[in-house]
Amino acid sequence: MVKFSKKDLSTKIVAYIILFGGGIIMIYPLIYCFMASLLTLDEYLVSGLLPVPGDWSIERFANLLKFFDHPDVVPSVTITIVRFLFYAITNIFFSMIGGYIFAKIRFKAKKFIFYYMMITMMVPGVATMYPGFLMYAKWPLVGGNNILGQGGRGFIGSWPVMFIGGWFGAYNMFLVRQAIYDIGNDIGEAAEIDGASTLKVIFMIYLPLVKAVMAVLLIGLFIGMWNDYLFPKTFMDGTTTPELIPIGYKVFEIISRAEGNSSQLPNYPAIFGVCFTAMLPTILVYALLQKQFVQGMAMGAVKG
Amino acid sequence: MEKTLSARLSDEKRGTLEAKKRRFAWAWLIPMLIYYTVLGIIPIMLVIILSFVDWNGVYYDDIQWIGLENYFTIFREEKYWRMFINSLIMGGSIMIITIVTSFFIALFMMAPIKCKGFLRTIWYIPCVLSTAVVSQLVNTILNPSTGLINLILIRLGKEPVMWTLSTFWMYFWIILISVWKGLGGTVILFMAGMSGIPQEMYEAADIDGATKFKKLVYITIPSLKNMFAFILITSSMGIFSIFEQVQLISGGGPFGTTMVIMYQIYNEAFDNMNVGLSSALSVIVLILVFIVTVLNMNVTQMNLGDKED
Repeated sequence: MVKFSKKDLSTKIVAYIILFGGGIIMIYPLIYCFMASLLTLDEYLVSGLLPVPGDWSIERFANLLKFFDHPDVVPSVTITIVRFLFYAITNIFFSMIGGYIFAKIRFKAKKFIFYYMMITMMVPGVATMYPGFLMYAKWPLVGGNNILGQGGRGFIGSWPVMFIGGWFGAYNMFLVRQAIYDIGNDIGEAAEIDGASTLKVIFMIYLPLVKAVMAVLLIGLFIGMWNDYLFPKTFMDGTTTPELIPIGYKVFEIISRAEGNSSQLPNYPAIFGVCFTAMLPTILVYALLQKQFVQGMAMGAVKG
Repeated sequence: MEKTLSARLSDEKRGTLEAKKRRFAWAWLIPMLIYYTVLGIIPIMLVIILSFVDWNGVYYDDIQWIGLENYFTIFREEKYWRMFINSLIMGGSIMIITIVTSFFIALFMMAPIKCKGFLRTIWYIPCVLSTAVVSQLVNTILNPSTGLINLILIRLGKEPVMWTLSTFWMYFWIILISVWKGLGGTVILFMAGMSGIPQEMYEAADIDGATKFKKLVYITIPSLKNMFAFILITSSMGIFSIFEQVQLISGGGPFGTTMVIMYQIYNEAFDNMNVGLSSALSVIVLILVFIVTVLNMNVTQMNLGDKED
């Protein structure tokens, strides 16, 4: 740990000023967004850097609830959460197994496979988005396609497309690997000599020890799923079930609905209200798991 | 020293245990590798193949093999060069500002101060927000006639600024928003690295009467060598990925001056149905990222994550 001497008051004061001062800048847009949502449109047009509503009546908070006005909100949020749960299970399962294999087992070609698994980490997602799209669209015998993948739309636009890719990711796996690697071999081997299966060792012994890393995975996945905008926009294009578009993209429809009639001035406070409510879940999840997140990053990060 | 459990194991028992583990490794790795290859590696190979064709993405019969023609088009036309340079300027500035700022923020976070959890949370919050929603907010605030900033400028008696018509301001806002959104993640990484530096090194330096600056230069920074390398490598991989902010804030405008390469790749493939050209651009990005990563790994002498062998 970086050490500052206890007597060193000036360092502490500078640290407080920078961290609190900068911190206010970091969350200012959120504060502004919340306060602006409490205004009426007329008040908004004459408001300043920190909008303060004329009164604090309960009706003022109605803009925050405009998020729920759209009829598709419930199915959209549901599919987002189902997606999150699905990917949470697959990612934890495969990252634990892969992480354990790379941390504790010696076998041929390990280094080669390790680097092979790293390739996709290097490739920007959008660069290979089209071939991925093409594969899903031309998948044989799905969505009206014939055996050659022609004639239909394949997986594109149907909800199963949201569950095919990304069951595990290199980054998560290496985070888990690093954490398991730093735990000694003794605990695991003791259990294996007693006849426990390798799966049991992984999930009964190592999983509880790397719980904090799981918090990193869960937070990352929740943020990723809740905010996922480009994937639904591209892969759910022209869907017959628009209510099953995840919230990250659906939120645009909700915002434009809150804007109101296009011939008048947009209802800005309502836009701010919808945006604030849409941002709230990820903030809450992070705030709840914040301690484990920082600990988990320290466990899984590269050392030294 | 007490013998560890693994050292006490007989060779024979150890052998069967290792063999059992090896079988386990292959039994799980093979299906995982197949899945990974189909959904992760085949698209990369496909993008290379598609970069040699002219195709609108609909019928297989329309595919025309045109060799390197797509690459020639890219090298001939200046607008593609500009897009690579735009990505480099935008992504590069975001990376440098983020790394430098977050290092110092992390340093202050390690000081013996109160409310650490609270501070960590507020500094990280921008990272958890959706780029789409944040961009929507930015657009509202930058609205030329009703946006917050212009309203204030008007009230101060200044001329309102037409943000979206100015290349400089679009760069400014995109870089600012990206740094704001990415800072917290790098701060956490630096903090993770700093908390691993042994306390004794600082105590020894204190006894020798080292100044704070000297401790920073001779202990903290060298001890974070691997962490710096990791952050440098991962964030330079991201330079060319910058896309969503641009799409949603400037839309590449004004007049295409903030167009970045990833946005063009997306547009060519999904809007212009120009699969071949989009793929050729992707391949160039992949080659650039590969070169940058290998260079970085050589310069920093780091085996990413694989410290065992």
